[in-house]
Order: sequence, then structure tokens, then C-alpha cells
Amino acid sequence: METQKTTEKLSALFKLAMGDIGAALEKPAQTYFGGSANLLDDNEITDLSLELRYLISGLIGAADPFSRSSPEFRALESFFTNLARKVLTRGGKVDDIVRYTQNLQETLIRALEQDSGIEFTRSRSVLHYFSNIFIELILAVFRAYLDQKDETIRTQESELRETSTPITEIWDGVLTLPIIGTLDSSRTMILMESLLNRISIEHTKVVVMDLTGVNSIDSQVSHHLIQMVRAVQLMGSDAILTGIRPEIARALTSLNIDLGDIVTRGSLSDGLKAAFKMLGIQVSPATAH
Amino acid sequence: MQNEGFHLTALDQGRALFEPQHGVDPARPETLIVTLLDRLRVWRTRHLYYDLSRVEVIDPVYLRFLNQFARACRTADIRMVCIHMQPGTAFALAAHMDQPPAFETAAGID
Repeated sequence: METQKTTEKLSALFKLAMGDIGAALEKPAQTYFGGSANLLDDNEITDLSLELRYLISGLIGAADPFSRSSPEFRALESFFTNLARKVLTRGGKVDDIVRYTQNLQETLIRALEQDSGIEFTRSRSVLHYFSNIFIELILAVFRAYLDQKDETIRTQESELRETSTPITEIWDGVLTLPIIGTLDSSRTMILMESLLNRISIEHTKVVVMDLTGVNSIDSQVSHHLIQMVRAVQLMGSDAILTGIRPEIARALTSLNIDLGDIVTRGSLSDGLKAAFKMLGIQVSPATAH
Repeated sequence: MQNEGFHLTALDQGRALFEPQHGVDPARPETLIVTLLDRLRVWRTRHLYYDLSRVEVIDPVYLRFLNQFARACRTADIRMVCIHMQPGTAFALAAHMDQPPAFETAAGID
């Protein structure tokens, strides 16, 4: 019964000339995104307010204005998601978007009161309706904010992975790969993919993998290591393992892993000398003239 | 030498190139290996390059075939060298290989 009354009141509001509230809806946007905040320009704020007015009138006039799955509500929610993304991308704060949304709610109710002559403070059902709608819209803003944060974290993780495993062509046909930290399955896959593609593109003859930065090793990590060496060899390149610390060497033998058929050297420097020797290259000091 | 399942080409200096097509059945290697070794013997081949550029997946059956073929070549005093293995193929093969293969590998023909 209460819902029906509210729907009737909302229908009455919908019949009002919504065009009159357009100017009022611009004010919150000007306050939080315009002027010195410089997040949206005047044209964008005008367009935003026009679209908002259209979406709100669509929701109020929908067959079921209470539904959270109606196309009208989805459109309004999507509008707030996109607005939040745009403002956050331009350096705006989530606080400002939330305050804007709250301010918009108050402005909208005030504008509709003035237009309709109905005092909504006496109509709890209508206030309750708008309150619920705007809570959902604020949640949409937070979801957009969290999505953007997740995206930022993913990008940073990706950058970190790339910078933590720099594959460098140190000489024609010689790649070096310093491995730092722990080799887990996902990191091994990423590393192997980029390493094997580099070997294919650059026709690499020798790959020197330096383990100086690896502090500990277990059976899974050693398996990944052997897997990487095998894949490099299958591509027709030679693999040299360098910088195996005494603790790592001891761990490998206790894990019954035999590196007998794999070339190993104590340091990266020795590994490079071995690589040059394999290629028939001799590096000697320049003679003084 | 051309067959429905492969191309075998004699190169210079006792070398030959084997290019398998989709018709090669690694589950039945006996006849294929005998046919190939017979031809390689006539050509006095010392190095056989096995071109893997068109082989996208090397599963355990195909790996067993390659190992068997390489051992047969070694018995006939021929070095079998697999070339042009694709990164994705090497990546997948390395995951299920528990010991070094019987064949040699190289980026391409020297």
C-alpha cells in the first residue's frame, strides 16, 4: 500500500516539467568538479547535468521505479560509474565524488519540492526512496574507485615483474637473465615466455642465468629452474647457470637434482667468459699505443 | 624425396633436411624410420636436420617418436638435430620432459 502511494507520488513528480531542475543539478557539479578543482569544464558539466536529468526522470517514470535491475536504474548506475572513472582518472578524489552525490541528492529533493509544491520532509516514503537510490549510486562510485585501484595494482605488479627480471642482450647472441627473489609457477611462466620469445627473435646462441639474487630454493623452484634450462636448450641455445650459492648447491643435491649436463659457473663474470668461449670470442685488454 | 607425410631433401656436405607434414603419424614410427634411414644411407648423410617449425605440439607420443628416431639415426652414425622449435612448443615440452632428449637441438641449419 505504502509502495503504491509512493509510486503515485513519484508519477506525479514525473509529470512535472523536469526541465526546470536542470539548472539546479549543475550546481553540485560546479562545486566539486568545476572552477578551481578543474576536473570537468563548463560544457562537460552542462552535458552531465542534462544527461542526469534525463536519467532521473526516466527512473521515476519507469514501470517499476523501485527495481534495481530495471534498464532505467542500470543506466543511472552506469552513468555514475563512468563519471567516477572519468573524475578519478583526472586526479579527482573519491571523497569529492561521494560528497557530490550526497549534495546532488539534497539538491534534487529541494528542486522537486519547489517545483511540485509538495513538502517532502513530510513524506518519509519519498525521502526513503531517494535515499535508497543514492546509497546504490554511492556504492557504484566506490566500486568504480576499487576497480581503478585494482587496475593500478595490476599495472604496478606487471611493471615490477618486468623490471625484476630484465633480459638483456649483453653481446651479439648472448642474453643474460639475473633472477632475483623467488621463482614461483606464475613468475616462471612469464619469465619463460618472454625469454623464449627473445631467443626466437634474436637468434640467441647462449643464455646466462644468474642466480646470485636467489636466497632459497625448494623442490618446486628447482623444478622450474630445470624446466627453464631445458626449454632454452630445446630452442637450440646453450644455457649457463651462474652464481649458485653454497646453500643453493647443498639444497639442490639434497633434492637429488643433478645439474651434471648443465653448464654452471661460479659468477656471472665467469659465465660470460664461458659464453664467449662457446662462441669462439676472445676478449683481451686493448693494447696501449 | 617426397611423400604424403613429409619432405626429405639432400643438402650439401652429407647433410639432409627432414620436414614433416601433418601426415606423419608418431604413433607408428617403424615404417617411417626404416624408409628414412634407407634413403639417408644412400645419400651418405651424416647430419639430419629435423625441421620443427610446423610442429606446434610435441606431446609424450611425439617426443617418444623423436627420441626413437634420434637413437636409430645414431646407430646409423647420423646426428639428428631438431631445428626451428617454436617458443610455445619448447615451453610446453620442457614441462613434461624428465630427462634430456636423445636428439640435439639448434636454432637453424648452420
